Amino acid sequence: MTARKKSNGRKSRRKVHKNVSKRYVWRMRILAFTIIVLFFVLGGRLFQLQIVDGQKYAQIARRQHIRKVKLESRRGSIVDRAGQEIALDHPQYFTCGVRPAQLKSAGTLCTELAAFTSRPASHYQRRLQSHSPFVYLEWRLTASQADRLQSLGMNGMNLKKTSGRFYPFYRATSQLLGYTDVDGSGIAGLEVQCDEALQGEKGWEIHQRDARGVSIWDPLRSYAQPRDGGTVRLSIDILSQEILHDALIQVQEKYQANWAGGVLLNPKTGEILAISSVPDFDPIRPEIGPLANHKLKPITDLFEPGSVFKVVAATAALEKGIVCLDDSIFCENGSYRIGRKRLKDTHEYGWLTFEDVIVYSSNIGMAKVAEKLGSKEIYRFAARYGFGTPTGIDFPGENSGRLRPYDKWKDIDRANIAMGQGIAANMLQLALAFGAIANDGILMEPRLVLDRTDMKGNHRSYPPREVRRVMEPETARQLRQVLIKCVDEGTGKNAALDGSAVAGKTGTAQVPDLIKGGYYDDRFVSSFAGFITDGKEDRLLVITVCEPQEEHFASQVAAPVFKKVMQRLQPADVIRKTWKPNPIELADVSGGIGKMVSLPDRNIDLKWLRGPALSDISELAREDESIEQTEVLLPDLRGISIREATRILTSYGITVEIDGSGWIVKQSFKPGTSLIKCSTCRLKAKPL
Amino acid sequence: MPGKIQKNSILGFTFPQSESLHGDRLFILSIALLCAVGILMVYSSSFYMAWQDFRNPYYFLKRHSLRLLIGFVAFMAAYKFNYHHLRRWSIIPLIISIILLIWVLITGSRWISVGGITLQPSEFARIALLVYLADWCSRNANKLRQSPKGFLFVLTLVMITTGLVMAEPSYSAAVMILISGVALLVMSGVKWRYLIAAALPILPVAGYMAVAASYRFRRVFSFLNPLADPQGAGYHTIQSKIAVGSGQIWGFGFGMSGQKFHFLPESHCDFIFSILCEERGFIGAALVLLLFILFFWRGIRIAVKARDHFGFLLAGSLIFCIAFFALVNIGVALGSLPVTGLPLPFISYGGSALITNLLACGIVLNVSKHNNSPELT
Repeated sequence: MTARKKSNGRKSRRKVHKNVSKRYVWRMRILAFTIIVLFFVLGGRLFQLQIVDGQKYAQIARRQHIRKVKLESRRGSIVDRAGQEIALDHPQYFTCGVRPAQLKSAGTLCTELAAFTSRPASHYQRRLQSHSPFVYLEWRLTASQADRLQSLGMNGMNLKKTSGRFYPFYRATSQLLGYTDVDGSGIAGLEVQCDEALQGEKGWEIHQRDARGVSIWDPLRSYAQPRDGGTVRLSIDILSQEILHDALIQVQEKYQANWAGGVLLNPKTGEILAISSVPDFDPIRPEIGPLANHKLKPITDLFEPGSVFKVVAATAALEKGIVCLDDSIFCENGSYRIGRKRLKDTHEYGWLTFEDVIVYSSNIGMAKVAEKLGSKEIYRFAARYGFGTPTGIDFPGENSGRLRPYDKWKDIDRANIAMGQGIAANMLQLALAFGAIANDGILMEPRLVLDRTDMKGNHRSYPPREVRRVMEPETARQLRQVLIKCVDEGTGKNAALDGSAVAGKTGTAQVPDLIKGGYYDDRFVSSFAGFITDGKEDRLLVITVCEPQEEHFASQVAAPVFKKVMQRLQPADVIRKTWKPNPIELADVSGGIGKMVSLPDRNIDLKWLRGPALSDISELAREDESIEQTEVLLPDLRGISIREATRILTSYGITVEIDGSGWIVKQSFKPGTSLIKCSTCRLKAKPL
Repeated sequence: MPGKIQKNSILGFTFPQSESLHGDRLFILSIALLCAVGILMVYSSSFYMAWQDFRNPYYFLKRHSLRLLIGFVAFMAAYKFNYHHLRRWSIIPLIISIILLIWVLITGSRWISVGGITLQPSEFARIALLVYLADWCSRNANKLRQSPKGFLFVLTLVMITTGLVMAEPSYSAAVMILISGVALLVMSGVKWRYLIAAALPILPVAGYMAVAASYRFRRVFSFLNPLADPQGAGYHTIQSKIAVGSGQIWGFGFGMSGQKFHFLPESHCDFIFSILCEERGFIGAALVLLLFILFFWRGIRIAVKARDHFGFLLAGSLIFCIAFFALVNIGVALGSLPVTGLPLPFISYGGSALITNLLACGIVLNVSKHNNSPELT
């Protein structure tokens, strides 16, 4: 057909075109057919991807589109006995992060930060050399510090407002409460002890995200509400705590003492009203300063109590009827031999009644009573008072003290122990022992936590609990009499108060030389333990000052502290009655630390006390700490005994879990790990 | 070449005289539906990006609509204008296009901005070249078939345009021009051996490319094994396949695509079909494929029924050209072809291509209209 048409193709142009087109239509049809086939091939491919492999791709897509976003929960508050918040989560801090690549004047930033935190500027310089694109330089900066940094107008610096742990009473509660890590888990003190109750539960939310990581609305959203942590109510009375802390600071400064500690408790219930030691630390930057300052020494540290311990032997003697208070004892004019050792009294006494032996604290008189009494009875009563065993307080790292078995005692040891040397106790044990005297002979269990509510609303309270009867009420009454006389006439004169009968005992102990053995001639621990039992308010206070310079007699060093604290507590009682807990409003938070706390109002009340102003937070915050930062690292514990390893770790406030017995062969954190990182250390031990 | 065609014409613009004088209705319908799908998909795939970059989710939708309007005007103009008049002037658009191509080559940018709208000369060059070649081939049909001279002339023109576009550089667009030119040559009746002879030198060139520029070669063929470099060369292929596959049968629904959140770059241009698959599933995507097949089938039918050789070549080559674009774009979206930067006709956001495609459709419809018109004298 085409060949015929071709022959007459030139007849008319239109016709030619028509014919030409028809002639090659088949070529077009082939092309078109190919294209349509290709379209159907694509349709098949579509089927393969969407129907056959659809599930697989849908899964991949879901994985890359969906993100689980954590919803932060608030860590619970710790409140004092009146409900005043003393540790709480607050969105008031700023975290400073930088992009090192964009940062121009890194030096200025480092020096600024160093000025805020007392860290060396080189610390920040080192962080900036990191290869990561974004580096966190510092956290827990206050609003005013953040303002200052912002005013530098730096590129590549980012200040983010973050929630953080806030301690309105700052250093006064630092050792008691401890601190948390960046993630809000308790690391030390009550923060770790009550972690379970305080910990909230993080929530989550499913978000759709884009490829750059930005969260977008998602119709599939599902979520779990975060749950805020519970509340822990302490037996601490924050007013008393501040008063005690303040007094300790003063005495430590005055005598340049190694440390000073105090425990104030209610002997009838065992509730601890205040417990503190100095030097303390900055709970916002716990990593600065020596780690030893983190310890709440009245619980974690041991000392030889000295003459205050004489009440133990005295109790035994009175209970056993070996001596009466009126019996006379010859005190050998100040010098007495036991074996090859010689005992001395500070004053030379002749004949003294047993009562006066205690009142004037005659070592020789006590040694003679101890001889009659025998080691076993002294040991028994020491143990009944709770020495040598943990008090069971809700606080991490209690050191239970050292009371050797009586069959190992030599004669001189017996005499020493009767006067409080050669045994080691913590201050809390001492306080509780005196509490038994004040409480008609019944030893109470110490209480720091009154009640706690966890995030699920489970409430648990801790009522007062008796441990045991240590002595008959009559003996306790007699001892109280002696102790009152002690303050009225004897060594405790400086602790006497107007209007209240104070029962108390001083103690000046020598510090044992742990390296050479024996005792230092020039290092002392002076203590005072005393209580008021006027029926209105029961209070028992133990003050210990370790290694005071210049003066060392407890009557001069510790007793006046007792007096000062007790004096200031009396008007504080009046204040407390009209006092309501001050809720710390989240909305208040705008300025720096100094601005937001309700403390200034409180200080107006406290001016009544006529003492020096209580710890003013902003003052202390500005205080220059020139202690260089020492990062404490976990020691190598391998090869030492379990007991020694436990002692070391608990002294750092680390919980210890032990597997096996004998000597340590393995530790869960490598030696050299920063101690901040490990709250619980697991040890593996093997017998040699 | 018809002398007087319409009684009622002003400056070459003709007006419909009777009911019978209209284009292929299914053809129009397929274009309209594809454009409607385009509007929806452009909005759905671009609103997030538009909001992020311009704080206005309608940014790309607005611009797309404006181009669609311009494209419609071009479409109507081409539809009303008697296509036979094109023959008289067909050389002029080609010359202008080539000048523009050289111009962009000198200035170094692929775009020419006219009144706030950027135009891609390569798009217009494609249409201009096909129109001119359709005219030339129909005019010199015998010359083309009897000696290689005519063939060489056409081939030279195609190669010049292709070379200029390639120099932009826009390889994929250049390849499309070449393929369209070849399709036109095939339809115009060139001897097969000429075509084979012309194709022979391509082989050593391709071999040279494979060896000398193997990195580019690897890149082009990364689509065969995208997982070899999931963050680099294979990224687009993988993400596009994830988008397509996760749509399954029914898709996530309008606006619900997750891949458009920057996972699939250029989701409103080159990968709009993937987003369509994700949101509309197999059903929607298959329907769009069928729309393209309908469009293509009606277009070919118009070409076959053309009353003259010029109309046949013109409509045929333009339809083939658009179909190639659709095939390549969808093939890329389904991970069956190397990643190119070609838009999906009527649907992709992309000004010049949309306008030129609508213009081309106007021309094809014009051919169709005259198929239905009464016998001309």
